[in-house]
Amino acid sequence: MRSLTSEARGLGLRPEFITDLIDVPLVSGLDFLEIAPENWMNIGGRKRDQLDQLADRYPLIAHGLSLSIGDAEPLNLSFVREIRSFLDAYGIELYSDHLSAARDSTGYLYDLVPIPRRPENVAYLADRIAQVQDVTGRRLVLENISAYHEYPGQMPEGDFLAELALRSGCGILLDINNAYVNERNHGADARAFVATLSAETIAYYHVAGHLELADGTILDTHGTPVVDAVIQLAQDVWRLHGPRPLLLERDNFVPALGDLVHDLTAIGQAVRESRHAFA
Amino acid sequence: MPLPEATPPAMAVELGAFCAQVRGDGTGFYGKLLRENVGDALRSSFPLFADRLGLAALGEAADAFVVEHPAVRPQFHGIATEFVAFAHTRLSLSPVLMALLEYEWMLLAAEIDPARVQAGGMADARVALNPTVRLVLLPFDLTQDGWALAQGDDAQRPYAIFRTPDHAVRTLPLTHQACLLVEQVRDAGAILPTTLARLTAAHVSERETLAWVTQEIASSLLCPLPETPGENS
Repeated sequence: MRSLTSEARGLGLRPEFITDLIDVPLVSGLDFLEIAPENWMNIGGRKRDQLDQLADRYPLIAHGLSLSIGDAEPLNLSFVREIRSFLDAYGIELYSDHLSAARDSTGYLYDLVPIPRRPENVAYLADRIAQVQDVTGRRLVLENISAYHEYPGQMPEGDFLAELALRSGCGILLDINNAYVNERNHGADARAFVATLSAETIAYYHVAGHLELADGTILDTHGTPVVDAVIQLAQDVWRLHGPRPLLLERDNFVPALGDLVHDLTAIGQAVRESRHAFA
Repeated sequence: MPLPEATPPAMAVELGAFCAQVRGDGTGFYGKLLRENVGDALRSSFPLFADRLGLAALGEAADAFVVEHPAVRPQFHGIATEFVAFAHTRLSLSPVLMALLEYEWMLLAAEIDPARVQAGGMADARVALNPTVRLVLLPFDLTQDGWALAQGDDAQRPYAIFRTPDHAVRTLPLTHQACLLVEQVRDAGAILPTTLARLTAAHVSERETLAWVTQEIASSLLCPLPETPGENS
């Protein structure tokens, strides 16, 4: 397993630039790649060959979509075991997914839906996290999602996440864009949310672009450059919680690899050289 | 070992109600999102099927899938397989549409099949079918532009779909003679070309069988196996 330095910078691996990535021995400014294990597990052919080549060159981290840690069904432990095999096969130390549900009593939904943040749900989720950690042999890292539905009267997201991390020992993938999106859409103070989290629990950071609709709603599309307001929030996060591996997500309208790495480098420098005071 | 924490009843109710709303109502944010995800997956996995079905019917199929299909595959690429199962049980598709759907599913399945396809080998070694092969009868002819309904009495066309060592997915039309030989190789698991020729001699000449083996090793339908010491037929 290859660990990341706290100042490592990475990209989410996309089919749009995978060939370009393979064509050069190493891309300067790119320290690691994040992959969704569901998209690569139990797959052969060209994709497997490409992943094998990249795994020889870059540390990989896994960011899942389908764990569904927050649903009301029994955990899909056979799926978690498959995740474990995949992580072991590629020497992947860091495994994250989302604090959300991807399944209901009917079956898989193929997207992430928010879960109700109630004090009485923490023990249940902590127990499920423990089960996943037992099976994977790794600390589970959970991401704060961008939510487009609010359950009435629920706990503040920071309090809920911090309590869950404390009770379960899970790590937190702090998605800075998601915190910004939730602030804009729901009025939840992003800086207050970030400040509630304990620095020791934060494993790494995500930044991404979003889309603003005509009515002011913000969608976490990962399809545009990262806006200044998110970079400023990232600077505040960096000053408060310290350096962590930083990953730029870009899943739609993906530019050329060189442009993405340029953006990643610029964001990394802006965040490190922050002179913005934490409000 | 302690029992897992039971789902808090209020959580199950609250989350269940929200998910039911999302599944049942395609007009809200998450309802639209789920349907778009499924629609995108269908269009990219099954372009011929989607084109033939039409945009409106595809949207209706995606909606019905979201509303009622009990998907058990967590992976997003599992949507294709889930949809084929759903189509079999819940959609009234014409035989041609169903065949198109299954054909494109087989292309996908061959493309990502975990088996490794070995390149090269001795031409006189034992041969096996390509481990990614799918054998299928289709009611259409594949053309450079796509497909055309098969004409004539014998309207089912046999094809082999497989991935080559350089990861190309091929669809190979099979003659009746080729079907006979493929069946013999499949039943044997692995077989020497000379043994294959002997077993099929009543139907195919030895010369034709050996020529077919050479040709299909080149196409990668057949894979020569490495010899193990002391092995014979």
